[in-house]
Amino acid sequence: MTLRHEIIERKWPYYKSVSELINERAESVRINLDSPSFNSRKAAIDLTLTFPSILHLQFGDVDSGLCSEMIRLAVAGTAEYFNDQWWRELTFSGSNISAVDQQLIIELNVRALDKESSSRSLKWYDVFTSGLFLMALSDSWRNLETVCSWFDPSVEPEYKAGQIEDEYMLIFVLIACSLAGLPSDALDELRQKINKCRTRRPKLLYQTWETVEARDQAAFDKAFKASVEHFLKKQPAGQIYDWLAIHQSSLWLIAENRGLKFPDLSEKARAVVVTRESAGLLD
Amino acid sequence: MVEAKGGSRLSRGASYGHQMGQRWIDHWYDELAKTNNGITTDGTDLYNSYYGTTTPQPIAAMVVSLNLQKKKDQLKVGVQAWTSATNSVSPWSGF
Repeated sequence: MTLRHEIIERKWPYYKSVSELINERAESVRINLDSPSFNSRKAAIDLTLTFPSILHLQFGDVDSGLCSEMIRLAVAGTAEYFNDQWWRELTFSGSNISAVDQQLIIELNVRALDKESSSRSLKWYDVFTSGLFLMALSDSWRNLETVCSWFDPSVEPEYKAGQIEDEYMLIFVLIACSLAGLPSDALDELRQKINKCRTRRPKLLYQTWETVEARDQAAFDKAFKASVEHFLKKQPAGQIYDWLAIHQSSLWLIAENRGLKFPDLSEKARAVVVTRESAGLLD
Repeated sequence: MVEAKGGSRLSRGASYGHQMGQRWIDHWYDELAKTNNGITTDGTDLYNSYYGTTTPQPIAAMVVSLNLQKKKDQLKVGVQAWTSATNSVSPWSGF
């Protein structure tokens, strides 16, 4: 049997062994999820993608119990990140952080998460896209709905130095607003903005989302396949979860929850789409 | 660690202003830390320093910008320092 990482012609990229990396990252995630800084919390949620990715890519015999535990922690961390309480009620009692740094952390948190702030520079994209995937993967739909209620159509794209199209980020605002149950006509303006984008990546993901919304199996099969095939055209370096079509996988998990069937994909395309089964999360 | 970035082509649909501005550099610094974490020892050190995990270290970054299309200020040097485990990033000096 050819393993998934072999199908996509990838080798273990880290200088530590699988078990060493897992233990190190588990510790890092646990520490950072409790950080007073939004940025460290954001990093922890992102880093959690490592665990299901190792399982999916079949990089060794991994403790699926630890993987489930880390996903559970990150799901709770995502829910907390968007609940607008932790950063308002932040206390530093017993902390060795200087008063100057405490003030700086508070200011940065407010800019990143306070939708009422006049100087807001909201930081939602990485946490939401990772959290969406982890919540859908672990069947945490109620948590996801709560997280989505943080969003409204005014949430703007983040600064990503041109790496990600604004419209691509807006697709996730649309998904969040839709999952939060906002009426469809309240999202028309957002759809118009997304529709104006001419680049392939957002176009294909948006088409896939529309077919999920419509619960249209035939259209979903076609759009999903096109989006994943487009993802495969690039060979991203870096973390193993960057090799995987995490965003398309999230849409598949939502589609599955809505009763759609997995499309007929090539072996290589299947190897980059994470399912509950491939991540070892089915009982 | 050394990373080179260049070019002037803007992605359609993206609004990110001038390259080599503070936000641009911060973005790439973050990207460098995330991409190389665990892949090289320097990358791991950078990540742990940036995100203030178990072994936070003071860290300094220097960026050199060379823009041959400009008549003035073709060469700029910027420095930035992290001095705590709180992910408190000092403003860039020089940009």
